[in-house]
Amino acid sequence: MALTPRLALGTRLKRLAFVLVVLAALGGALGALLLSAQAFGRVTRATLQVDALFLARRPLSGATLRWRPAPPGARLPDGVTLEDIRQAYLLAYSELTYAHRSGDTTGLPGRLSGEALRGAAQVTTPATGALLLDWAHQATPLGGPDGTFRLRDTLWTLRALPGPDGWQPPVIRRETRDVTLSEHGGVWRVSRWQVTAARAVPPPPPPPLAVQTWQAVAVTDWSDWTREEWTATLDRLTPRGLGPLVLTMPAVPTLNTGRALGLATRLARQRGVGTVVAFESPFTPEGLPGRVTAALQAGQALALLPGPLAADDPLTRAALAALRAAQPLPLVTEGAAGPGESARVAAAPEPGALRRLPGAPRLPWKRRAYQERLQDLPRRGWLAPSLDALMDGRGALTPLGEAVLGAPDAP
Amino acid sequence: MRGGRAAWWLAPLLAAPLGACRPAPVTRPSGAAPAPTAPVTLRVAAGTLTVTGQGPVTVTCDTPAGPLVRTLSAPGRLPLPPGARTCETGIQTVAAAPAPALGTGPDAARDPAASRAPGLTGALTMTPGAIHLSEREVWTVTADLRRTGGRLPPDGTLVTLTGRGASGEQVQATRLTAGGVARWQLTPGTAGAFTFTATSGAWTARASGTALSGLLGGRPQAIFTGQQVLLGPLRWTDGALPDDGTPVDLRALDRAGRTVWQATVPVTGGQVQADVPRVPGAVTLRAEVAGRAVRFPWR
Repeated sequence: MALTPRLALGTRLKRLAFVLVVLAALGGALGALLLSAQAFGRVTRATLQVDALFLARRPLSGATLRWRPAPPGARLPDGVTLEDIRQAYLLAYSELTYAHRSGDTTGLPGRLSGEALRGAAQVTTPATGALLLDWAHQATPLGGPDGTFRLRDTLWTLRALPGPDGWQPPVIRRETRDVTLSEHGGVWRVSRWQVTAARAVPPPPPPPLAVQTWQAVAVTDWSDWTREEWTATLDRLTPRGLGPLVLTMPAVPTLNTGRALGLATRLARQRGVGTVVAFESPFTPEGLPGRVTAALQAGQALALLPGPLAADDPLTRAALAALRAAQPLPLVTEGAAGPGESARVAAAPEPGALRRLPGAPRLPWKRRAYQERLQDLPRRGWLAPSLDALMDGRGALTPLGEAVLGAPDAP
Repeated sequence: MRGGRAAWWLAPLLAAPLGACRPAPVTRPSGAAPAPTAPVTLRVAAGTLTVTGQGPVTVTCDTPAGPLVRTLSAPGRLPLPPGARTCETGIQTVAAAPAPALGTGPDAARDPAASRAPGLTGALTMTPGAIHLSEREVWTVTADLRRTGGRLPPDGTLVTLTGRGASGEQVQATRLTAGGVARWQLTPGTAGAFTFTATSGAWTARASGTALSGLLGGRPQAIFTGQQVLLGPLRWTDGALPDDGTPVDLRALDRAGRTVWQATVPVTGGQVQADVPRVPGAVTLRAEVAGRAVRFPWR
């Protein structure tokens, strides 16, 4: 005889409620899963679309062109036309770079014509996958009859072909070109160009740089700073003898960035503070023209931090050597390949290297570990993430500032 | 024991998708040529590189537009692009042209496009045949190319279009083919018959069309007071007013018919009102809109 205990009504209601709660929880979890799957799908699609847009756009070129004085008697157009010619000439190179990398030659007739277009179309079909870079153009305008313009350009070029494992050894050289541009329908195009001389420039040995004495402070988002904002920042640096000032380049440099680099370097020099130009994005061969341009714009700076090396391959090493040859500033490298340059940046203690100071943590449970890390920081030879990380607006030191700038503890 | 057996079963199941997701080994066209059995030699003459020897060989030439890379499966000839400096196979390097010769004068004698795309056929079409000036109409000129065997020419074949109008207007524009088709969109600025010639290598084709004035009444109504010129109301043949900003060309001509003063003024609300300066030597004022001109003696 089986004994089936009769359940009270209250117990039944409790069980029913329990089952309902479990079912509701399961339903809620399922709903949340479906919603998040939809959201994930939408985010993925948006990312894909953004990537496609970036693919469709021509990459920005970091190359610049400086006009040299024209020979006497040359017939020069007005300044606006000269600026049009400069833009058209530089865009011809960036279009050619794009055509080589992507195999998309539809843009070539917009930038090149005549003999130059024939040559470019012949070279880029089938696609070579080659990497072509140009930087630091210095052109002598030679003028010409109506609708044409001749110039003689001295520039740096890099060309590398894809190899069995990555890239073949690149050719980096200084070229002289005779270029003819012709105008049609208000658009200037390169119609003829010829390399008249080319020579490889061996990189100079890296000059020594005493980063052990630095108390460097980084600043960001300074492209649109006025003279007063620069003065205020320098006023906070000088009482404690901090320096040099590390100008962290924005991800996309603008015309203002170039002007601000020149202004900051000049103002800092007047106060005896050195400046350093720093890139945060990884250093790749494609980033070389932008680095050279920034270094030439900063002129009198102490050093250039080209950013962490993306990879330790022959092409990146060759690009680093080209960077040393193409601009005068000593290099402070970071990441994969260290030796061979003036100095290094490191997050961990390393003799002779510039130490990157840790930023204050945002999460409360990481504060104790941060306090412990502050104990063994050097008094010099460091790079602070920002001025506010060291001191507040009135000059009072933060814990990090106290650790590296405060009075030494009396024994 | 049971758990261990399950793990044995699971291991290949887990490993299979991991192995399947591994990228296939990359095979790129190698820059260095496979070792040929006979020595390969390069020779340059009259803008053509001649490769002799045996076996497939990869030639890399240095040109102003970047490296030219061609893999020749057998010895042969390769037309060089303009301005090529050196060519190399990894073993041998030859100068494609002596530098001083490159620096002098244009070398129009050779046309690599001609040797690259032999035996093209095709048609040049132009739609519509006649368009009305300034009425948002454009000519679409299409070159549809085939090789003699009926196959498509390679994408990126250059086609150059030159055009000339009855009143001397000229155009020259180059396009690259995609799927054998190159296309131009053109808007003429003057009235009259236009002839277009498309060339690609040895292939040439012609097409022609007419640009008409769409102005109602054929001749713009105009008043010239000596200081001020008034045109309008202007209407197209379909009754619509011209777009604001449609250009009107004003010229002052001297006794010999030479232009001594010129200005372009926009149409506003179907009318034009412009002040004309007193120009010494000017005897005629000419106002032209949409290919129709009106002349006034200067008073």
